[in-house]
Amino acid sequence: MKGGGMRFRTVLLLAFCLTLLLSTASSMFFVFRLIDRSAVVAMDEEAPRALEDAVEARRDPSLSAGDRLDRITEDLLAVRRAYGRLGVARKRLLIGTLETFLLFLLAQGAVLFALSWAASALLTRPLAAIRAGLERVEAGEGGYRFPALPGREVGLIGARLNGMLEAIAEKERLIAEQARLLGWQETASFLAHQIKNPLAALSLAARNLELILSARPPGAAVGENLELIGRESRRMADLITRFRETVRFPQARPERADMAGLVESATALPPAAGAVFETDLERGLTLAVDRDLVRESLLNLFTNSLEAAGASGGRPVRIRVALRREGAAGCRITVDDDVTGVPEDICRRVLHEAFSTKAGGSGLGLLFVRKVAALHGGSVAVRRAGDGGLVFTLRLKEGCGVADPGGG
Amino acid sequence: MDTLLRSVVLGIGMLFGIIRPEAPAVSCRVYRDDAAVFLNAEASRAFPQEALKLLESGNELDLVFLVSVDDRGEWSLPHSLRYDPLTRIYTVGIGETEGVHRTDSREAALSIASRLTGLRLLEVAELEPAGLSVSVSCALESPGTDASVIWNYGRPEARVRFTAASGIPR
Repeated sequence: MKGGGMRFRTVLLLAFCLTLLLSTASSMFFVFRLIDRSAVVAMDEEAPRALEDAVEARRDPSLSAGDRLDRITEDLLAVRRAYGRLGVARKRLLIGTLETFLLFLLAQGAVLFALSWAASALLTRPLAAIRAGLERVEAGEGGYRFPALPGREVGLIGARLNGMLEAIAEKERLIAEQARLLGWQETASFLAHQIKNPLAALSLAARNLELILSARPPGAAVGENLELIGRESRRMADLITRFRETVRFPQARPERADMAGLVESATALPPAAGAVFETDLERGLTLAVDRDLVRESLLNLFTNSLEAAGASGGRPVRIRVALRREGAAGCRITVDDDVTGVPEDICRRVLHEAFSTKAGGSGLGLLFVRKVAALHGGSVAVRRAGDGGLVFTLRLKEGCGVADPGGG
Repeated sequence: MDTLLRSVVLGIGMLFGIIRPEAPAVSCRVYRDDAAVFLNAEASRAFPQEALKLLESGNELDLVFLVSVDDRGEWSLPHSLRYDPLTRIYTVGIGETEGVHRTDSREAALSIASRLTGLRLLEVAELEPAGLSVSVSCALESPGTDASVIWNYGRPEARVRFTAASGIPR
């Protein structure tokens, strides 16, 4: 903007100097044209000399009266001739004046034209840049952003357009994400439908066996196992139902929960899982959350760490979990592990797509965590630690029941 | 550029009535007899009011006929006019004949000065088969002043061309 202003002022200064120069040149030309040498010589030299000569002749005692009269007459005739030339000189003067005036007008017009042209070029250059940028956007260059444009108003327009482009890009990203999610929803619904029916039959059969065996004790051990089968079958069916509901963005079922206890219950994995937990939990924090969804979210994060560790050698993984109060009715759960060497681009993409580094992985686990966080008015963020490990931060708030953005 | 500017200025001046439109014209006639080819020319409206004022204040005024015949040569033929306020006599000097006419009639003097009569251009034997081209133009001059301004810097011109020598009238 400053550069444009300077250029504009330079052009103005140059135009002013040029106008001054042309005016001076025109004036000089005008003066030269005014001087009609013949008229000047006639009236300024010849006529006075002739009159003086006539006076001299009148005073000259050596001249006779006749000679004196002749000389005076000749001198008067010279004055008359000089006077006669004045008519021609007057016309020359008139034409010369008009020529100078027209020349001056033309010069002024040329300067004004040049000045207007330069000013318009300076003013429209940023607009041309905007037009070129819009054409690039129109051609499909979605990542284009307008450079800093000179001029306050035009600069603001450029900034606003950049804002609009950012918003459009964000919307496009969301639309793409929702399209992917819709695909997963359809897949999950299909799978749930296909698995739920056999599970229901299994559950029913187990229940029947339990009833039959209960009539003939002491089949306690068989009964316990059958009860277990039945319970687990129901739990699987429930989980699948919940899973289907999850991908359909269900409403959460919040209830008051001790958050430290909830986190601890999630960390109670069997030793065979290969996880060693280090917890740093703030006690006495109770929030109204959906226990099952939060627990599943944490399990997903832990599973993510365990699978990442498995991919890098299968050694036990140390998982650090911290719980902190955040705000009046919220908390922050941080999950960190000692897995290293996660590439930067994975960190960037891991939460924003149905993304997985594992062969056959759906990437739904972290997507699930994200949706649960959203349902609790919170968020999940991931950052890359100095050693290349991923640190997940799950933020939750009271007040569940976020509307289903997918409408499913 | 200068000529263009002057033309525009004169046009504007005439449009607003500041400058009087002076339109002198020249006409010519080429004829022959058995021996030679001759030229008659006449400049009309050659002496407008400003020219007469200049002349009658005692200044000499020359009407110069410039005659050109193909590329064989160019003649500059001044017809000088002079007025003596004491005697009120007009004196006309004819350059091509070196003759001098004196008269007290302005009209007669102007008429004599405006005409070029019987100028012998070339011998018939010198005529080319390709024909003949003659041009006549006029200029107004006065010693000590730029008299061309009287005609608004114009210079009337007339041309005549014969594609065959036989086409020249007798």
